[in-house]
Amino acid sequence: MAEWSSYSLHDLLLFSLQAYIGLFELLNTTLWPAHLVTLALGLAAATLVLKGHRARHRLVWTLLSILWLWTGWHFFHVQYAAINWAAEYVAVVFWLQGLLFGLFAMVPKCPQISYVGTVTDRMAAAVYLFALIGYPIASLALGRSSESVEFLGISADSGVVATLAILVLSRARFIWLAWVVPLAWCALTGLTLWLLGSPEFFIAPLAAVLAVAAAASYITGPDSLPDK
Amino acid sequence: MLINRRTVLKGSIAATLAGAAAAQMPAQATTTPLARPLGQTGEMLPLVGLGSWITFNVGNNQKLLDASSDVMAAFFESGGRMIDSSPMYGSSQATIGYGLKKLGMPDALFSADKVWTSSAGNGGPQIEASRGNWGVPQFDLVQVHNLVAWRAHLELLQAMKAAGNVRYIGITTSHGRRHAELEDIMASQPIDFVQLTYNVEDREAEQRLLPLARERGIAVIVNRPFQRGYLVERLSSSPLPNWVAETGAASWAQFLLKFVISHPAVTCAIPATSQVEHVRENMAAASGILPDTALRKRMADYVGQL
Ligand SMILES: NC(=O)c1ccc[n+]([C@@H]2O[C@H](COP(=O)([O-])OP(=O)(O)OC[C@H]3O[C@@H](n4cnc5c(N)ncnc54)[C@H](OP(=O)(O)O)[C@@H]3O)[C@@H](O)[C@H]2O)c1
Repeated sequence: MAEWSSYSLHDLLLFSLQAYIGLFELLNTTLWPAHLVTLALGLAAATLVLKGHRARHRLVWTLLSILWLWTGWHFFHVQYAAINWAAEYVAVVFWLQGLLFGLFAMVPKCPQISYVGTVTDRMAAAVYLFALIGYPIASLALGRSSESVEFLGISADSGVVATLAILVLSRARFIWLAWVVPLAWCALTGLTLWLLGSPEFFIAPLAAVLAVAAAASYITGPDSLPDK
Repeated sequence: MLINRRTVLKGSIAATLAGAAAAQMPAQATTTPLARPLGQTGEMLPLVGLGSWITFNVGNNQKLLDASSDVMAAFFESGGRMIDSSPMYGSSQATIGYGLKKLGMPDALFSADKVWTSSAGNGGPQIEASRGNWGVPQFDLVQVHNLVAWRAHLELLQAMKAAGNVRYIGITTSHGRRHAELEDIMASQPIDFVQLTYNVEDREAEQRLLPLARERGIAVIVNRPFQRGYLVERLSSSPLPNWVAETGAASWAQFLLKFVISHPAVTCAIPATSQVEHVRENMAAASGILPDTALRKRMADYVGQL
């Protein structure tokens, strides 16, 4: 007991802000131009949902499944684990989340994803757009170098925020299970950046709060739709 | 009066140094830091070494790997020898391995690593994996990290030492944790080194552990001499007292290091740094005059008032 009380949260950090940012520099150099592919896929998913395409539900869950499996493998297992052994465990959690989205894509009663233009929908769209484009811009504005900003599908944060926006639009009540890991990650990434002294620490938690606020209005408010 | 006693202290260390250490200093070293003998072996170790927690955990980023090897180069140029790491420190071992290879495996290196696993059976394979990361034929020192599974690991380390697979063995703690248990181990186990936290503010080790280390001829490595940088940061807003200038301390980092290494039981302090200027500054603390008991008290009192 006495021993644990001698640890501070800072003692849990294994790396410096410089090394953490160095990780994103490395990802951006090694994966470029994959950024264009992930951006195109992100925009394609948004178009499918906005246009109300019939196949959108299964396609978007499939894309999310691939995003989470890939992030778990490449970002956490291959890259981040080099400076943080705990990333190996997070990789497994991301894979499980990816499998859950894979399941959503395959089950006969596939959870629906719809954009009908309510205030809540627009909030979700704003969060999604922020994940796609706003995230790198906000990071730059807060002092990140252009070589180290984070992009959807290249590192974890913006993909997780985009996922939350999709979850808002999915409306199905039982889907709360899929919220747990993205919300936990937003809290963890915020905490990590805060402990490292980065001014960007609030971005993911704030996006998560907006997504939860939007979802809450679906569940409790007049926008609430029955599960399909 | 103080000056005289300090001068005597300086003279005695320098004399030991001249006799035994000169031959062991690396060829590329441009300066010779003050050193102390290791237990009864007579092998000399410079009073300042290099830690690797956080600072060398840079992953696969080439720019940061090269920056770390620049720090190591400056360390060896300043006459440094001991580098300390652990399997717990992310990619630090691999970073050290990269730097050592780039620097042509300096002869001066004194490699200190740790075994850190709760499973007794994993100890051997872990030490072997660590050795591979460093790229050294064998470690000079392997320590049981934070007393984890220490009975089983110390048995393994003793067997390795008997077989000539490691030169020295030891055990570590930090933040003042489990000092009573460490004291029992120091009193009862045949260890060469103990590593613990000691700095101008965390001085519990002065009560029992440091005197016991002297009595038993156990070499002492001091971790967290700057409280992970916090002490230097906090003190930097206060003026460095001009009465330490005579020891050669020109900065707070040197003040803090001189306080630690002037304790006669301390063999080596291992500040970690990611910066070339800082490693030079830290190594320079192991030169000039070491404070004597009266000056050490004045230093501690001064920091205590701030
Ligand atoms: N249980 C254990 O076995 C255990 C526990 C703790 C530590 N250790 C060992 O002991 C080593 C030292 O402890 P530590 O790394 O925790 O803390 P530390 O050495 O007290 O402090 C390291 C920090 O001090 C800063 N620093 C270094 N030289 C400086 C200078 N001249 N001026 C200003 N700032 C300076 C560094 O920042 P810059 O990079 O900016 O220079 C770094 O952030 C560790 O690296 C590790 O090898 C072992």
